[in-house]
Amino acid sequence: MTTRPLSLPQIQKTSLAFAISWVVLCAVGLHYVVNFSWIISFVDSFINNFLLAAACVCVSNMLGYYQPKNERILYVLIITLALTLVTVFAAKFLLFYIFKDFENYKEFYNFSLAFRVVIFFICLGWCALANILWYRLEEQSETQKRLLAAQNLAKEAELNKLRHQLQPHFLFNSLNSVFALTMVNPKEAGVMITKLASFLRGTLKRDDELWVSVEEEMEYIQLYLDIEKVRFSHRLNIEVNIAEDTLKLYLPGTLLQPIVENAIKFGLYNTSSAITIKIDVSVNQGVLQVRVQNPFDPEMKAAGGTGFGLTAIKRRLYLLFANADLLQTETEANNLYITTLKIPQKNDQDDTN
Amino acid sequence: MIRTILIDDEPLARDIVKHYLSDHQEIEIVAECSDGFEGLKAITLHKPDLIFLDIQMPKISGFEMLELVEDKPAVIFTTAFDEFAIKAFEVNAVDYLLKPIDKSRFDLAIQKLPTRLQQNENTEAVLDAAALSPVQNNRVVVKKDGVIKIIPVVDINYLEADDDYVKLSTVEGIFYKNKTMAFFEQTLDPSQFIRIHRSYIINLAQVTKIELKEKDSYVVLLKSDIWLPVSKTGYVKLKAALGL
Repeated sequence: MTTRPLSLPQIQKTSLAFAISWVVLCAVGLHYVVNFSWIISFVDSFINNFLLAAACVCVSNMLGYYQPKNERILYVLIITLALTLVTVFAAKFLLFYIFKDFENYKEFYNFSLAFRVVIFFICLGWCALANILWYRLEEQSETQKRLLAAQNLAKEAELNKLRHQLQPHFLFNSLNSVFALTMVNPKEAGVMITKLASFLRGTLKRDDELWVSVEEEMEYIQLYLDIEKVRFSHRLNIEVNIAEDTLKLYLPGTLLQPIVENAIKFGLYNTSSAITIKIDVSVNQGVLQVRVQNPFDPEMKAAGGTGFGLTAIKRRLYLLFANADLLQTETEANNLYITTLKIPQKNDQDDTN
Repeated sequence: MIRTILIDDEPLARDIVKHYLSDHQEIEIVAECSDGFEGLKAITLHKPDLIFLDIQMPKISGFEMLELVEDKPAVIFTTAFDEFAIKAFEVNAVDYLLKPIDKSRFDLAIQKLPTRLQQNENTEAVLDAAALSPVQNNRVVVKKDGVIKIIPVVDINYLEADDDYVKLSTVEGIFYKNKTMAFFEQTLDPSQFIRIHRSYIINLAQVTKIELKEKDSYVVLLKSDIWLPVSKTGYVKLKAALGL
């Protein structure tokens, strides 16, 4: 929404001061130049200028509501002319009604009518032009602001995406583990480096639009779990069951990893005992179903306050499928947290790349 | 002989430190721990001169563990990536090692040890700075009767100054924390917790009534049916926070 010039207190004050001094000036002019009494001079000046000011406000508001794209000059010319005539004759009618016994004055008025029309026209025209210019500038600065905001948003989103993809905490801890392995078990270190490399490669090519096969996705998840297994071999157990008939099904490549990461975060990072993370992949009436189960420490959940951080994934699922029920979570009595992801299969699998 | 404890939830990460320490005969490892609870027990038991401490660990962070230690040993922090922790170190110049740890950097930290074993004020400053991190400022870790308790800040009704301690009145009872009122005033979310008096900080969600007691002197009633005095400046803050 653009700001109207007359809504700014500074402009209101200036205009008012200008209007008052203009009324006084005109009255003084009438009194001394044409020798009318003070009353006539003031009333004439006041009524004429009051109507002129009202017309100016009217023009300003009109231009604020609507400005034609083409023929702008013609539009302004017509409005200005129409308003000029209306105000001049309204003023004349009013003044003739008030001073109907002053023949002298009426005579002068008729004589000066053309002159008044010209002055009104110039004033209103100038007012219209100033307003057009004002709205133009407003519009421009607004577009610029919008552009800037959009650019900032895009930049932020890009940064967040990169940040999320690289998961610096995971990356540096894994590097540290590899480093330790080079000392205690160099052969294992080599295996771990290749796994880390494959995992990072997989991470970098992931995209919301890109669907991958269950087979490919589970290999990627397995890499992730293997790396965590090296870091926490003493207390992490992994159980993965993939039904044979799901291997050729597809899912978006950005959904499962954050869910597994979440399970690791709450199941492994936030507990200190030996734990099992269980993943089951099955198909049910053409809908792919992935069930991830992790234990959790009930005390930690309360302390976190916000519960498990799956809101972002829910939002993404909604954007992809326009269905908010595809991700479901449940808590079992023995402190097990279960996340179930359902992916309806596309009939046309040509766009799976 | 310098006696040390390694506290890190990843065995391989401890292996690196162990490996590096084998070059330093003057340092003896007396215990290895894989979370803050174990670490706390081991520190109380062994009274080490030095600890190697990871930040992100299960249950309580390295910082939170250290807050509960009464006679703090010299600390060398080891961390992989925690933006906030690293910022806290940089301002306060306590020694910290970034994972993967470089051998020459490690040796440098050990070289600086003799001076560090004497003074520990910097560690306190790091802990204060770290308390502002997003994870830590929504909970408070306390110890009562030898049991560690993690209290979500939303469960705190009010805080009261009590000599060298601050008394936390919570849903689950009374706890004491060895900190100052000013510390809590700074770390707790100011839109949620208001210092209404020199000796009191209250949880805004707990307020049920504010009454004029005498001229210029107010009292506030909490949901737990407790009246607390409100100072003049406290009343101004309280009014602003409640949007009155």
